[in-house]
Amino acid sequence: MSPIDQKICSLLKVRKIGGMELLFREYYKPLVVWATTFLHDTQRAEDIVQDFFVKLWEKSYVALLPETLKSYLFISIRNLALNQLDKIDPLRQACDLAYYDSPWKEYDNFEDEVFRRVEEELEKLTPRAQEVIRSIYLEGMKYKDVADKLGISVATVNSILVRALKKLRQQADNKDGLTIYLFFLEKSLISVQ
Amino acid sequence: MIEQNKIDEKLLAYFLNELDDVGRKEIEVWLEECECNKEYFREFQRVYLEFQWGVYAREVKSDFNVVRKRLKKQSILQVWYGVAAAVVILLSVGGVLLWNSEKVEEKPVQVVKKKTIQPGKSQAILVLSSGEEVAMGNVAQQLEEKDGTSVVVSEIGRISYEVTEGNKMTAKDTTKVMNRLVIPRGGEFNLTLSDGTRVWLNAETELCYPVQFNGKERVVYLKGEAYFEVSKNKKKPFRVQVDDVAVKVFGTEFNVNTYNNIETVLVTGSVSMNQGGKEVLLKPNQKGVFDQSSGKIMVEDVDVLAYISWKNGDFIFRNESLNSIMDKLSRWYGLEVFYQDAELQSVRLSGNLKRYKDVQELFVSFEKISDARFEVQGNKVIVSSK
Repeated sequence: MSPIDQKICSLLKVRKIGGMELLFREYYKPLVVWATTFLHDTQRAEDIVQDFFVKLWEKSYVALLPETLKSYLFISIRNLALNQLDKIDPLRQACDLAYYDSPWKEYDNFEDEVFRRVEEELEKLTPRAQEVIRSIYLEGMKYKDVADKLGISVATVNSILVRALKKLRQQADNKDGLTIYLFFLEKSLISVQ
Repeated sequence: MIEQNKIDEKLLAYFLNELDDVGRKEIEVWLEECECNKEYFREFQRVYLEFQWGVYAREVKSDFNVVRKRLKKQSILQVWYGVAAAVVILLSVGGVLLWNSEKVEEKPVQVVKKKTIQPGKSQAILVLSSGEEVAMGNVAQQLEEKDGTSVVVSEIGRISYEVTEGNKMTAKDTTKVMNRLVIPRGGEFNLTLSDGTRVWLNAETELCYPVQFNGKERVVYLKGEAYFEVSKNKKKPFRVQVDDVAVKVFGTEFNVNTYNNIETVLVTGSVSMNQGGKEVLLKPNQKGVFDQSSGKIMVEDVDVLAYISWKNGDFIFRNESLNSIMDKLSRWYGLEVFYQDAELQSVRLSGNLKRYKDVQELFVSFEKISDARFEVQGNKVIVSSK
C-alpha cells in the first residue's frame, strides 16, 4: 500500500476535491492505457475512465480502502472496458477473457519508467515506422490496409514492427540485466543447435 | 538469428490477430515443443504489451481540468438539492434551521452554527495499561507500551499495534498488557490488533484487548457495537467476550452489538455463541440474539447489509421500528429524542442515509411516508403525530 493511496482515500473520505486531483495525477494515464489494452481506442478509453472518476465522486458512500484501491481501480476499469467491448463486438468469445486476464500481471508491476522508456524509443523511429505503428495500434488497421495506404508490402509492415519491438527489447535487456541476458544467450544456443 | 526473426514475425502477427487458422495452429505446435518456447512466448508478450502501452500512453492528454469541470457540475446540482431540502424543512419546522452544504465548499458552511445537528466523527480515547488516557483525533502519533509494543496512531483515525521481534513475548509469559479503547457518543474508530485482526468500533463502544496475544486464545472484551475481520490463526481461536456470552470465531467477518440484547450477525466464515455451557453455531447471513430474560440464544436469517452498513458510512434501515432507528441515530448525531405520542415508537420504517449527511434529510422523507412529524430544536428531536 502506498502512502499516496492512503492520502487519496483519506481525502476522498471527507470529500475533498484534492483527493480527486491526486487520484487523477496518480492513476489517470495508467488507467486509460489499461482500458485501451482492451478497446484499442484511446478516446473511448478516456471517456470510460472519466465517467468512472465522476461516478466515484458522486457515490461517496463507497468506502475506499487504501489497501485495495489500486486493484479496485484496475479491475473496475477492466470490467467497464470489457462491457464496452461487448457492445462493440457482441460476438467476442468467452475464451478471449482468459487472454485478457493475463496482461494484468504485467501491468501490476508496470512502472511509469517503462512508459517513458517506450515513448523515448518511439521518438527515435523513422517517420514511416511511426506511421505504421500508429495505424496498427491506434487505428486498429490490418497489415494489408497499412501496406496499401503506405504503398509498401505486407512483409515490410511486419518487419518494421518486429524491428521496433526488438529495439525495445534490447533496451529493456540492458536495463533488466543479467538474467534476461542469460536467457537470450541460452535461447540463441538452442537455435544454433 | 534469422530463425528468431521469423518467430518474432509470427508471434507478432499472432498477437495482432493477423494469422489464419493454419498460422495459429503452427504457433500452438511450436509452443508445445519445449518449455523454453513458452518462456520465450511470455517474454515476447511482455515486451509486446509494454510497446503497445507506450504507444497508447503518448496519446493520453492528462488534464485534470476536464474532469474537474464535470465534478463541479455535480456539486452545483447538489447545492440546489440542498437548497430545496432546506426550504422543505423551513416550511415544516417553522424557520428554525439551516443546512450543511459540505459538498460545495471544502469547509462546511453553517448558517446558524449552534443549532446544527452534527454527525459524529472519528474519535476515541485510548486507555493505556498505565491508566494514562490519550485522546485519538486526526493527529498522527506513536506511543509505546511498557512491554515495548508500538502503538501507532495514524492521522486518518486508525490505531495499529506493532510487535518487534526483540520484544515478542513467549507463550509462557503470563503478564498481560491490556489496552482499552473508548468510543464516545458521536464517534467511531478503526483499530488493527497485533494479530492483524481489524475492528471497526461504533459510537458508545468500549473494547478491551491485550496489546499482544500470548495465551492459547485471543480474547477481547466488548461493550457496544463492533465489526470484526478476524485474521486467521487456527492454533489460536479468537473470542469476543460480552458479559458472560462468548462469541467464538473461526476466521471470519461479523458484527457484534450489545446495545440492547447481545446480538451477533455473521457475514462470512463461522462463529458460535456460547453462554453457560450452551453453544449455538451461526451460518453466514444469520443473526444470533441472546435474550437475557429467557436465557436463550435465538437464531434468525437476516439481510446482513442493514447490520453492517454503519461500518461503510451508511445507515440502512429495513422495516425497523422508529424507536430502534432513533436509538441508532442518537448515538451518532448525539440527539435527544422525545415522543409526544408513545405509539409512534413502534411504527416501522425503511430508509437510507449516509452517516456524514444531515440527519434531517431522513426526517423529511420519514414525514412523507408516515404520520410522524419531527421537530428539531438544537439537538432535541420531538416526534409527534401529524
